[in-house]
Amino acid sequence: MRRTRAIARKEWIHILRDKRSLAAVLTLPVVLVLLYGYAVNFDLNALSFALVDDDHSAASRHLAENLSGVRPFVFKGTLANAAEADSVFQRGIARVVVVVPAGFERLLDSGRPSPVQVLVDGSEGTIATIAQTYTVGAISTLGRTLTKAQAQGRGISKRLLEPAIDVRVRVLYNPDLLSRMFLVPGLIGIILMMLAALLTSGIIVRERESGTFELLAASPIGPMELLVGKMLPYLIIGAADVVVAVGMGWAVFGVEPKGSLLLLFALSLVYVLASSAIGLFFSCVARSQQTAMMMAFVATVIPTMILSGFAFPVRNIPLVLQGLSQMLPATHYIAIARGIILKGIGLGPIWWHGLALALLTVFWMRLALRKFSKTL
Amino acid sequence: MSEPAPAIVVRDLVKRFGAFAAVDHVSLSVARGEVFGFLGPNGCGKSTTIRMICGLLGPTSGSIEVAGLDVRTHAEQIRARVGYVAQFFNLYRDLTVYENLTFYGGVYGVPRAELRSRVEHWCERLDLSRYGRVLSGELSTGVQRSLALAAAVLHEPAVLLLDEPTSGVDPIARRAFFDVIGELADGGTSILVTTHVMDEADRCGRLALMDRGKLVAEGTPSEIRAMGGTDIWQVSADPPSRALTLAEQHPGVDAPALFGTRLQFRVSDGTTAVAVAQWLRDQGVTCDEPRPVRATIEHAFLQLLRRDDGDNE
Repeated sequence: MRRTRAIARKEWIHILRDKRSLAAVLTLPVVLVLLYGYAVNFDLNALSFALVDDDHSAASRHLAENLSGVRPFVFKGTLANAAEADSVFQRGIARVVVVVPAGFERLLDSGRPSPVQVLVDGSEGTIATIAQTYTVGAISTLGRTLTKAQAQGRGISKRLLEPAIDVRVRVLYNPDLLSRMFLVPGLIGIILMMLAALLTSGIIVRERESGTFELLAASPIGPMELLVGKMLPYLIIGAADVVVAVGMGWAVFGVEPKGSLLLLFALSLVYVLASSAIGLFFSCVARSQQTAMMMAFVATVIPTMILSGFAFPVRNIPLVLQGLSQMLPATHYIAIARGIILKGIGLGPIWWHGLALALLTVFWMRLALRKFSKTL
Repeated sequence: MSEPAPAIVVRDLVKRFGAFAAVDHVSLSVARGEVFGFLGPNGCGKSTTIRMICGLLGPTSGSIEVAGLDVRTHAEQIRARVGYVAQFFNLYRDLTVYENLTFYGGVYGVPRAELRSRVEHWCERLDLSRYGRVLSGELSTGVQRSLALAAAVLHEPAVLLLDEPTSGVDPIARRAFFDVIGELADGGTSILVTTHVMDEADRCGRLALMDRGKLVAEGTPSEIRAMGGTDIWQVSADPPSRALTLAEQHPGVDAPALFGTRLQFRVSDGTTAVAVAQWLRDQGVTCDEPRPVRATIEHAFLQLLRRDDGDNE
């Protein structure tokens, strides 16, 4: 205990004395939350479309005007014919081209279904899907009002045109379906993991590089005392980063934690501990700081981006990789953070994620201890 | 008085790095309260031996006992009883003198109540007090060496291993350093110290000379001096460099060496110092009458290493 304290105090002095690194460690979460929060966005804020109007009728103009008025559609102009759609997509002027064929108004007036063609730029899959859904939805809605107007004009009862089932959707937890509500908790997870793992990846190998390890190795300090003592100060830094990252998500993106802040903080600390243990392991294995950092980066940040559920649901991942994703602390933390921040849940539904984090900490610590050697 | 158990016993120690034997069947023992000097050229295996005694390197074969404990089985207990000053300054450069000492005191488990007074005592004794709040990376080499020694003795080790503790230190500080080492030995601490400096060797109780991984000589300083031979002569010569060149060509002249304007050499094979001096004068070198010189450890050192060369050829 006495020795662990001595190590922790010394490490803390190192941290405080290296002002530039300290400043970087505390401002990095701010920068990263801003950067990712604004850059990583799956929402379609502007959907540019062009029109090919072969009908030149009041109904076709009405359709175009109304579509322009619907968010997020932005009208980019009228094309002479459908063949021009290619060049419009290639130059990136519009994502969608709506083709109104000749005879559109006539069919509408006769009360029969009037076809409208929607061309979608499919080169960006995710956005194309969203654009397609938006466009089809918007045109169908407009179609109904157009039909209604036509019908009323001809004295047909309004009731006959009402759909039999009126579906009303209410989205819980993220009513506006903003992707940042979904992304910010994951982002906090990735930032905490990155900082914790990269910081601790240096702590043993740095002493090997500077030669100070020789005196440590000649002292009677035990491996456990040394590793625990060295990690403690970084837990404090990690705790500060938790506050900064959650606070940024709240202040800048309005992602207000709905659940217990205390629970969120406590489980975040376990997560920081698990991430630090991974960094520590690579610090014991590597022979240079750069190698340790690269190894920690490759082992944490890269799989975390893909497998942790940060962007893609874990259930969509092939079964073999799902096993791997359960080995990533971030997978569990992101589930915890989304649960507490968005749904406001208590420990009940997420306790096993907390347990998994604790087990992962023990696993990586044991691995680090096994690889740690006091010989030069 | 009964002979106390030796503090360090090294038996038949071997350390190989691949095919290279850095330490080649070395045996030595250091008694309690003894200052044992370890001499030898750079790369002869001194540091490797010391690191094995600390448990920093595992031996290839052979055994090491420190304070009656085997290094292989009791490494941690031994580390608690050993103080180590490494060849290069290995303390934390971004920590102050006090912070470094408090840290090492803590790591060696010095009780908190005692640590403060011990730090004060050693800062006083080693003239470190005025540097207490200075970052150790900003200290001069001499002060850094004192700090390294202070850090190594805070836990009052039974055995002190010093690997060239005075390299880069001026003669006055070096003398003060050895005064402290002498006091520690008087207090019962056993000290193994490596050095290149011959006047330091003179202050050791016993000496061992190591070359290319092997011990080539062992004994008290006067015994070692005696190995330097007796027939050493000195003349003042002008010009000295010409005198050296000429002496090297003269049959029967051994190991000529210049010390300023003084030329020292040994004679053998029937020639005499007087004859050599006369020959130098004949060649146009001004030189006085040869005087016999008492062999120093340095003479012995050069002589023993040279003889060793001959053996290997």
